[in-house]
Amino acid sequence: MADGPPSSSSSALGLRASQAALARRREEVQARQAEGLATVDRLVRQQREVSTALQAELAQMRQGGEVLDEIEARSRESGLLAALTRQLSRRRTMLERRSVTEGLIARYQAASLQLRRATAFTDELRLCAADLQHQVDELHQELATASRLEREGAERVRAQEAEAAALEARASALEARASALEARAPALEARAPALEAGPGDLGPEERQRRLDRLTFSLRNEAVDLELHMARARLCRQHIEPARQLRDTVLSLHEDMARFVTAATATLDSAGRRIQALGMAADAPVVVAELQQSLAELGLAMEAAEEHVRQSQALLTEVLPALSRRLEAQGEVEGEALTGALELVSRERARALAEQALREAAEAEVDQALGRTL
Amino acid sequence: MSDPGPPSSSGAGLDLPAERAGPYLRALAAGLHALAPHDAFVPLAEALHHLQALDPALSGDVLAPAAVDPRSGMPGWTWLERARAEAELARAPGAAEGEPGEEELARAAALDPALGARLQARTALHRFLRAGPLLPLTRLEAALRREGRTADVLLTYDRVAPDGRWLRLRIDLALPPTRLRDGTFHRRDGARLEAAAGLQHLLTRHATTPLLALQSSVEAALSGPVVRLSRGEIGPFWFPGLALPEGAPAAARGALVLHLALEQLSGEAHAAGHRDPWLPPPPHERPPPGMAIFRERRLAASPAAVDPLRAWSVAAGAETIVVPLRPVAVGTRSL
Repeated sequence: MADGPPSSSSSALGLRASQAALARRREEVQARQAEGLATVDRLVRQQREVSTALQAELAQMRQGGEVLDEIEARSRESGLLAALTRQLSRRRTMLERRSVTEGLIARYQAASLQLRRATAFTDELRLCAADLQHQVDELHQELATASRLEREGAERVRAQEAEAAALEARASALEARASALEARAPALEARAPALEAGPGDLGPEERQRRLDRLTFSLRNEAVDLELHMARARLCRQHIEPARQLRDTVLSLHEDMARFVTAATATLDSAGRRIQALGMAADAPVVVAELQQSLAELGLAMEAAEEHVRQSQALLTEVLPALSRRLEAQGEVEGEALTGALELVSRERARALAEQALREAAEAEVDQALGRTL
Repeated sequence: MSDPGPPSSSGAGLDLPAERAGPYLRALAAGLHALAPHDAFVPLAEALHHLQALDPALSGDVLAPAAVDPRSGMPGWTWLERARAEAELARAPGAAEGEPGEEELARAAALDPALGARLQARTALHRFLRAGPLLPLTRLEAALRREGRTADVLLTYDRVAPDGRWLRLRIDLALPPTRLRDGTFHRRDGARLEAAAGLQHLLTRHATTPLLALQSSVEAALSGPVVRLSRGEIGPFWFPGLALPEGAPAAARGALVLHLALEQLSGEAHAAGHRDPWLPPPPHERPPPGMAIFRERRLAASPAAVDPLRAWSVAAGAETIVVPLRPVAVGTRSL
């Protein structure tokens, strides 16, 4: 421990600076989470928009398929007249099929454009999830540092407390001895502990000086400890909402990526068959295959519809609840922080050190048992 | 392009492994450079721009998978379309301003290297796509060449054909001037006309029908004579790993061969001829009086296959031009 007179103004400044840093950090974490929440809200709305647009284009493509259905049904009509005219109408049917092609190409291009937009959007979701994961990682790292500092501070408080207690005990004993000697009271002398001033023993002034310094240091340590504990608490409280936001975006990304992959395959398959419609020999088998592809678009449309429903639930229930929780948490944290650092006595320092060590032990047990925070 | 394992087949398409997509595209670009198609074919600049956009050296895996048409060996319709759709996104209002900056790209790369690489590739691709046009899946342009007793109109119709070949129809028409006022065409600016949608549908229906049938369909629809009609096709592109069609020359096996075919119907009787060793003329084909049909197929091939292919064309009775396909620098990369 360094000697020298403590400066009350510098310690007050240090305390204010630490308090301000913690308050800044709290605001920063809250601002980032609010920003994250706003981003997720924007992404969910965008997902709803992308899915709706894609669904509309897929529906239009299917309508093109219905025109083909009519042509095919006509070409399969039975009866004498139909049989007689079939030969004559074969070329007309072929040309009609090709007429549908231009319309289907246009629809395919529109659907393909929406799908590219959805693909880019999937990457945006992935980036947002990575960003939120980074925030979770940062909070974990900060928690680990705060917990370590908390434990180290608590150990220092205990050591200094022990040293102060020893000095105080020594001072009391010497004082008692001195009083007894002064009073020449054999009865008192007999009760006083048998103490002899040793060569390394401190004089009363030096002992008092050391006690003063220890008291000052203890209070400083206690304030630091309180700040580390507040920082650890801040991290613990924000990890869960950050994780929840990350999980929301991750699940949006997973769903969207799966949907885009499936829709791309379906649309590619429909595209190849639309292209084949223009072949000189567009046999009914090509049309039948295209019909199948267009029917498969129905599944992609259902998936898009499901996304729209899910995003609605996210927008109306999940995100507002998360937002309310963050707001309430912010208010509680603010109050706790301003109240906790007012007065720190030695008793409080002792209590804090015990609490910090208890928490550290509990965290170790949790870790050993594989429980998450 | 070195030799290769077989491409994989998915449905009716053929997917090239990612590492083969770049060499394949650069080989095709080299073939185009060697053959230098003129204006009877789809624009060379658009074709090269499209190929470069698809190249993973520029676009990474943004436009994957690399689908090739198994019949023609040309880039698949769906692969080409992905680039076209990206071009539309890249040119949308505000797209350039909304692009991620260097700092954002670096942050993304630090958070997730694969995602960072894809965002970087998409940004580079969008910048490239804004710099020039791509091949359209279908496009019809009309121009008024002269207006007098007749309205002389040139139709240029481009299409990626059903089997992946790149096709251009050029149709010179001498129409009744009323066609400029009855809704078939609308004047846009100068000599440019806008054709009714039905005309594009008609050409989409007939783009691959035999030349004379195409001529009579267009004449019947527009009530005016076709003065000149040409169909220029780029493709097929034969490359190692692609199953060659029956009857393909032995010299084409294991080689790169790009076809450039032209069919032309015109009033220049001296231009009649058949220089296509791959496809014989349709049986019983009789051009209308005063008109002649000319067919030609030029090839760009791996240097070792040039002489054998020339000999094959002579043996087929239709000697043709075969040029060597050599590596060309594409940006900073070569074949």
